[in-house]
Parts: sequence; C-alpha cells; structure tokens
Amino acid sequence: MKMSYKWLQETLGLGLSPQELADELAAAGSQVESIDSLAPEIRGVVVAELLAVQPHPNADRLSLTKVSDGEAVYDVVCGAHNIAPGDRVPLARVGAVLPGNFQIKKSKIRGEVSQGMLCSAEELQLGLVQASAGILQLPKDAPLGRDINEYLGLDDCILDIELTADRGDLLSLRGLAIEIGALLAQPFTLKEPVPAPGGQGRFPVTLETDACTFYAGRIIEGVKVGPSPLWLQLRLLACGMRPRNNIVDIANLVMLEWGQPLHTFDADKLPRQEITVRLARPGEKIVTLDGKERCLEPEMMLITSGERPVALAGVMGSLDSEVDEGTTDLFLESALFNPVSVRRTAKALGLASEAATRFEKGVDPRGAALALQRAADLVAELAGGTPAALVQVGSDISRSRVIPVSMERVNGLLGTRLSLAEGADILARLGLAVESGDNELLVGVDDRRRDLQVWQDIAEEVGRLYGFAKVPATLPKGALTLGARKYSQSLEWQARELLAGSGLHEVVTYSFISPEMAEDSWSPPGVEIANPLTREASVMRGAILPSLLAAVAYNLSHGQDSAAIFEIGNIYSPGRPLPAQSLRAAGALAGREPRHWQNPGREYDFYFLKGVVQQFLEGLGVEAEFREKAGPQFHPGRSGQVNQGDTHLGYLGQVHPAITAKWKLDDVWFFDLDFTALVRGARPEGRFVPPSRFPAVRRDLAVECGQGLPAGTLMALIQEVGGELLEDIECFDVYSGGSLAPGDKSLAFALTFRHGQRTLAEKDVQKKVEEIIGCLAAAGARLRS
Amino acid sequence: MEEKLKALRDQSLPAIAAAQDLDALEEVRLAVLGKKGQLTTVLRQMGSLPPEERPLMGKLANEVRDALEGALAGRRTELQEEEREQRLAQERVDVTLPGRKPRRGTIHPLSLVRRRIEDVFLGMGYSIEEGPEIESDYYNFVALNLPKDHPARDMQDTFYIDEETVLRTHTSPVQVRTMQRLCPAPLKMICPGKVYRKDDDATHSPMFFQVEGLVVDRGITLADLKGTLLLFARQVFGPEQKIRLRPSYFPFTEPSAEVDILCTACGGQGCRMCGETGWLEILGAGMVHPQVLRFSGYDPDQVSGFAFGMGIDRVAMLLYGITDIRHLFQNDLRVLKQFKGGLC
Ligand SMILES: [Zn+2]
Repeated sequence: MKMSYKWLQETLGLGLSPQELADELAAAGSQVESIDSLAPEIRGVVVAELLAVQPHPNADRLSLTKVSDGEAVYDVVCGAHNIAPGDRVPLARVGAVLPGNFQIKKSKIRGEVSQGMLCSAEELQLGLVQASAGILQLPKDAPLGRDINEYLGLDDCILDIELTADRGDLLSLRGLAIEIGALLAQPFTLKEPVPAPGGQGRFPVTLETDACTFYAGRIIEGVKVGPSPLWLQLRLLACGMRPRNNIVDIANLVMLEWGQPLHTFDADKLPRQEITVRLARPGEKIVTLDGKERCLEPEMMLITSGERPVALAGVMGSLDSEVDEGTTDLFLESALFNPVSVRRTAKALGLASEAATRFEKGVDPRGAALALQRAADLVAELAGGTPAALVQVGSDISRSRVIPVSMERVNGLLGTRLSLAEGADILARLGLAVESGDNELLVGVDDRRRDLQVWQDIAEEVGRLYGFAKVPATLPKGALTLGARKYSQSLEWQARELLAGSGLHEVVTYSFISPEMAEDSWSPPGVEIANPLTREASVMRGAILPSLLAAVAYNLSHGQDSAAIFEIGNIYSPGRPLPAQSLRAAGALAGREPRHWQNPGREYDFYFLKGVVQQFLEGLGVEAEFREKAGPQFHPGRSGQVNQGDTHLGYLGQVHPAITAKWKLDDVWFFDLDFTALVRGARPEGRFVPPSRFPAVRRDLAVECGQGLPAGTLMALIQEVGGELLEDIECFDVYSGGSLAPGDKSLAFALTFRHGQRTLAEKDVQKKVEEIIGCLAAAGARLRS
Repeated sequence: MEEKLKALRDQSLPAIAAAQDLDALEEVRLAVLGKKGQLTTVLRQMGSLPPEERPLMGKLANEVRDALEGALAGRRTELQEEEREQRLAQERVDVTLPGRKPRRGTIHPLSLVRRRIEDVFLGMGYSIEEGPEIESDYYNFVALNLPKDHPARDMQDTFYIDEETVLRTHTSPVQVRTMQRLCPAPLKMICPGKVYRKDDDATHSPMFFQVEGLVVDRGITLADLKGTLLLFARQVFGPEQKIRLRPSYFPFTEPSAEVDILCTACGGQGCRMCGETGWLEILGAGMVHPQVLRFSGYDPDQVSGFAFGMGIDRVAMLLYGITDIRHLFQNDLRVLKQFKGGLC
C-alpha cells in the first residue's frame, strides 16, 4: 500500500519525520518497505510569470519570452505555443536540474540568449495529465519565486507500507490515520459527508446473487470530463497512482481516503438504464478496461446492464462502458461484494486491481454510502454536473459484536501485568467502543476491524500497542520433559558421521527432478507436481540415483577430477490417501581415491564401494549379506544386493554404462540403501564376550577353482564346517592367470582356530582342516599343491 | 707372574680405550679375556706358584679381570651410544610433507546447522518430530486456520500434487499431527525438515529447510516465547545477542510476531546487510491460535501455547556468511569441502 506522507501529516497534524513515522508503524506491525521522494530529481525550478511573448526572429516555431520570478526578469526561448502573458509557469533557471540529471545552462538558441527553460509536464516527468500539450500551467495565484517542489508538494514522500494480510482496514488514509493516531495517543476520526437519502430512484438495481450484499449508485448528469486539478493529480501520484481524468481520479482519491472502491460508468454507454448484479452465464465474455477479452466462469460475479456484462464486480470494468472525454452523464457505483467471490474471480483471471485487493480483504460496510456521497460531492465541485437521487439496495449494516475480554487472561497470554484501565485506554485509542466491567472489558467491534473476532485478537491489540518490546522474557514453567532424539533420529546422525568418516561428502539435492532425469536413469518417475516452477523440477523423485548422478556430473564439469558423495533423503511414490515417502541412504563415487605422494590412489572400483558400504553397515550395527544381482540400473556383472535374512536392504555396484553414457560420465559406483530397513535391522547395542585365555592356531589354505565360484560360497562352507572352533576366516589373496588354467582363479584363506575352554590339540585342528579341504573339493575348489 | 698380570692390564686398558667400533672391541675382548686369551694363558701358570702365593695372586688376577671387564663394558656403552647418535643423525623425515590421512568427508552445512539448532532445543527438553513432505491440504492449511479461499493462503505460494494434496509449505502440519496424537498431554516439540514454496531467487529456494517449534501447556505466555527465543539466539549466534519482536500476522497464531536478531555482520550498528537497521529478521512466531488448538483437540480455555518457525538455510547463511541460498543446494564440492571441522 502506497500512501502520501504529507497527506497523513496534514490529516493528523503530525510532527514526525517520514522515518520516525515508519519506525512507529513497524513497531506496531506495519513495515514500511521504502520511503521514496516524489520528485527527487527536480532542483531549482520556481514559479514564474510570463511578462511578454514574442516570435523568435530566426525560427518560426520558437518564441522569445520575458519571465519574472518576482525578483528578476529573464529572457527565455520557448518552443511551446500554449503560453500568453500573465500565465504562471514553472521556470528552470540557470543552475536548475531536471529529471535525468539535465542541467540548465545559459545558452544561445538560434542567435538569441536563453537564461533558463519553461517546463512542460513531460519535462518534469511526474506523470501529470494536462488539458493541452506544452508548458505546465500553474494556478494564477501561485506565488512567484516559490520553489516548485514546495508549491506543488513535490517534497512529499511515497511510503510503501507492507500491510499484513489481516489488516484490510489499513488500506486507506482513514485506516492508517486511526492506527497512527492510536500509536501516538491522539485518536482520529475522518470527517464524514452528509449522505443523501436513499431510495430506488428511476434507475432500477436488482441483486440476483447474495455475493453482493449492498449496491448503491448515483447518476450525475452534465459532467465535464478533463484533467483533474494539480493538487488532486499530485495526491494520487504521491500514493503511487497515475492520474487519468477528473472522474476516475475522484473515484481513486475517495477509495484511497475511505478504503471503499468505487466504479464509474458512462451512463450513456450502459445498454439499458438499469443494473443487475448476477453470476456469469456459461460462454459469456467481457473486454476489460485493460483491453483484454476475458472468458467468464459461472461463479464470477458481474455487473450487467440490459443483460450485457459491464463490469467484473469489484475487480474491473468493461472497456465499452468506460468514462472518457465525451462522457456527460455518469453512473457512480459503490457496493459491497463478497471477499471470497472477488478473490476467486481476480485469481482465476490473474487480475490484480486496487479495488479487488480491498474487497478481498473486506471493506468497512459503513464506508460504502459515505464514500459514494463524498465522491458525488467532489464530482459536483470539480467536474460540474448534478447528482440525481441515490439508488440503493441491500444492506450496509456493519455486524457489530461485543467481545468480553478479561485482563487476567490477556496478561496470562502475554505474560504482562496490565491493569483494566491500561487495557481500556489502549483499545479506546484504536477507536473501539470499550466498556469497563468489574473484571473485564466489553469491547465493541464492527466490520471495520474484521480481524478482531475473539478475545485473543483483542489481546494482540493490547500487546501490540503496549509494545512487544516491553513484554518480559521468561521461560516456560511446566514439568521437566525429556529432550532426546528418537532411536532412528540418532542413527541418522550416526549414518552421516560414518559416511563422512569414509571420505564421502554429504549433498542435499532438490527433491524434484525432471521427467528426463528419471528416464535417463531408468528410474521410476515418482510423483508429478501439478504446478511446477519449471519442467526441470516437475516431479518428486522416485529414486535417488538421478539426483546423485546430476551432482556427480555437476562437479566433474566444474573442475573436480573425482567425486565421492552421499545423501540421506526421501524418495516418493504415488499412494493413497497421501503419496508415500521413503528415506534412503545413498552414495556415488566417480574418479579415483585421493592421491598421496606415497600412494598414487586407485580408481574407484566395486571393492572400494563395497568397503564403504561394509564400514557403514558395521558402524550402524547392521549385519548383512551381499549377493549377486542388482536392479536394471546396474552393470549386470559388477553389482549386487544387500540383504539381511529375508529383508532386502538395497543395492550397490557400477551404474549401468548405458545410463552413465547418457549423463556423459565414465564409471560411477553407487549404493542405495533403505534407511528405514537399516534402522529396523540395526543391533541396538553391543554385547560383551570375554576374550579367550587359550592360544589360537592359524592355518593358511590356498585353493583353485573356476572364476564363477564366489569366494563367499567357499567362505560360508568353511565356516559351516569349521563350526565354533573356527574363530575367523580372512581371504588374503586372489589370483588368476600365470600358471593357472584359463578361467580358473586361486584363493587363499587364513583360518584362525580357537577353543573357548582349552588349548587346541594339533590333531584336532588337523582333522578340521582336512574336513574343510574335503568339502571344498566337493564344491569344486582343489587344494593348491 | 705379578708383573705379567700388571703388564697385561697396563697394555690392555689402552687397547680397549682405542677400539674404534664394537667389532674391534670384541677382538680385544677375545684376545685378553677369551678362552684362549692372554689372561687365561697367564692364569695357567698359577699351578707353578708356591701354594702360599696362590691366594694373593688369585686376588690380583680377579682385580685385573674386573678392571678389564669394567673397561670393556664402559667402552661398549660408549661405542653403542656413538653408533646410535650416528644412526639418528642419518634418519630424517620432512615434517612439511603431507601425512597419509585416513579419508574423511564432510557433513552438509545445512545438516550441521540443523543439528546445532536441534541440540539447543533438545537441551530445553523438546522432542523432535517428523512427518510427510507431501501433505494433505487439510494438515497444511485447514487445520492451521487457513480454510480454502483464505487470503493469507497467498502468503505461501504452493506446489500442488492435486486439489487436496500439496508439497508442505511449512513443517506446521507436523505440529498438528503431533498435537492430535498427544492431546490432551502437554507438549514441547520441534519439527525440522524440507519444505517447498514456489519461489526461486538469491534468498528463496523452491525447496528449503525449516525448523518449527511448539509448546502447549497451561499458562504458556508470549513472554515465555520471548525468553525461549532469546536463549536460542544467544546459543546459536553468540552470548551478546538480543532479539526484537515485531507484531505481525499469521493465521495460525494470535498474537503473531516477526522476530529479529542483532545483525550478525555489524552487531547492531547498521550496515548494508541489515539495510542500516541493525536487525535481521530470522523467525516468525506467536501464540497458537485458539482455533488451531481446538482443531487438534485442546481446550484453549485450559491451555495455551507458543509456536515459532525459522529457515535453517537462513541461519546457515548468516552463520557462514553465504549470500546466495543456491550455494546450499548446488552441492559444489569446492563449497562442501569447506565444512571440514571445528565446532560447526
Ligand atoms: Zn548490519
């Protein structure tokens, strides 16, 4: 909401600077976003009188003028034709500055000296509307030599006030003056015009929808449409609005003053001398003031005349009923429209207007008739014309209510110790009707303040005006409560520490991806967003792979030769009643291990990846098995699945080269684990086993077998046969080629045997080892000689 | 014989002192004290001595042996020390060359800040609650006193899945779900997590992290909210911090306030970052609206509550001096690797 500082200053007799006023408003909840000078770029322009106007001897289109600023007479060459001796005009003397940092210098124009410049409205760049082109004509009583900024009130500021969504009542001079008056303890009421008596008149109005509760109008005959007087134009400019003509300007001024939007029709352009307010019919159209044709939906409220829509109620009028230079008879409308209806219409059509903004937030019903009267008075005064009888249907009665407010409760909510009298004083300053009872206040509120409904709303008003700064700072006094993370929450932090401890960097990627990212990763698309910002961010991801591939690709194309990253985040899938989300712990590796001068660093491979995953699972206390076969997103031979018994925990392996090729990446190693399953499968805590007092016996076994036989199968076999005596198996060498038959490999295991209660006899170990060798042979692994 | 023993001692002691390394010393030892050494040779003559001289000569022989052995041991220690000195003089490392560090990655700054905020409230006895990111319109809006067509819905530009399903615009639906679960018990909770709004510029990301807090109990006041947030601000931003509450409007709280902390760049003096005001807005807060309490089953005549919400991203940006929120979601390793250590 933009408001003229001077208007407020004059209305309230304020002694505050714009900044001081802004601070007061901010402390009470209305932030002033900016304070802009109305004409920051005009300096040294004064009011002057034309003494003489003569043709320029060397140029047909120019004149030589003599002008006086009351102290001296200047020769000024002028190119405009709307000037005559006796006119009062703005004179930019030598040294003055005009917008665009245009400096006025002494000059010669076609051989004649010019000691300045007479200014047009365009040159002042204020957006003023003039009856004729040329030099800006000032009133005859404008004092000579007076600085134009001061005289026109250009030394005003536009306050851009950010109002909270509940304070529709502040969208007017009246509302702001009441608020500021309350803050400064100088209560304010806006002078009310005397309304004409209402009636049906000879201009019938029919309300066919209850979304319009009140409709008043007035025909004003014989008006003369033209530019508004300068004061009115400047006032609108200082409120951030553009002047157009006297009729529209008056409607806008009254709206700014009272907060009640008005609409003006050219009465002769209305198809019939009647108004009907109704909802739109299927297929109806209207061309709005901005020149756009709008297709109407059945729930939109219209002002119609003779069946034809002439305005979108409370939003915008039609082009073909607009007031223009030729208008002589005017129909002035002031009505109360349902906020939700206006909001829906404005939203559906993407139309934001000053009127709609006010109706959406709810206007003061009492203001409707008063604003209409005020506008009619102003039209008669500034545009001539005779107001006809008032037409009025519906009810503009403001619903008033009495809210009982106990100060004990107010203090209980705010943590303050205000007395009944202090509370009553604050509320009275706000223009509310307050009656003091024994222990409570009876606060009378009407629809000027729709935001005040329950006693807590009143408590806020009391707190706000008392000052939040004066509210003490205490801590809740309730019973002690346990502040602790839940098990899964603790494990999630542990997971971050573990993965970071393995050299991976945590990333946080957007939950939304593009359908192409999902497609290029052979991943499920997830959940579609109905109104995405861009197609690149239009689905909630169904898998974490696309996000991590994108992060790897970003880093490899931004100067990194390697990337090791992880993310703990949700993926999404369609579901009822709500789409499902599932927490994943995933990571990706590309490039090579960090290099060291003693160690060149290997390229990332499956076993590095598996090491990270093993370390992670061990750190979480999850015992898991690794098996062949992962999802289709993986290299078929370089991937596997992680399971705990029958529970599937996730996958790991090389991302399928066809996918990485689409992302223009080389090998990427990736794991993706179901974090919720990990939490369920994690051993809550360790268990103590006393270390054995008896010595261990170690045996190394080297076997040869076909490449297809997994080491894990052999180790499981060894463990099974070794039983309780076998404390540990380590595979310490894997080898192929050389003297081995093609397609064979050699595996070497270190076995540690130990008995819990006695020293193992050599022969017991030997027996076990032979048994193991026998079973390995049966499984296809021969002992190496 | 006595002369021979004395001569042996007088000759051998300089030889021992002259030995230049352990091998030479061993040679001397063998020559003098070895099985076939000179002392043995001399002692063999003991049998030819008259019996009365033998004890005397035996004593002298022992004295000579002790002297020689002592000298040998002394010289051995000397030589060993010399040798170690020499070795140590040769063994050197370059302490400025990089060590073989075990690999270590980093935790994302947003996670670090989130944990820091969580820890402050855990310390005050709050629980941490979670909920779905794709929410029903009911929990995201209606139960928070934001019915359909409420003008304040425009305050949060919303992503929709369908008419009744949204990407949550705040973590408040978790508050509602928790209140409904725990009502009528008192409650103290925070709910951190991802939220979504249709916004994208240097200070707004369409996805960001929020943490909201809620306390519901008998006798909870605006003053309690102020004290709690002051404690939080001092814990996270430094012991000198101050907070400022400005009246505001949220449909789910009444009264409502925007909360500022002293500008982290200028400490309140006024600078470009704080628009010369000395204050930075970091929080929205207020007393839970009676309608919201009622929706969740509480009786607003019996209990009251306060709620607050802040952007974790915003806190991270202030703490680390990040000026563009997009740095937090770009996942550039050059940025991430900066958060290596210290009390983040
Ligand atoms: Zn600052």
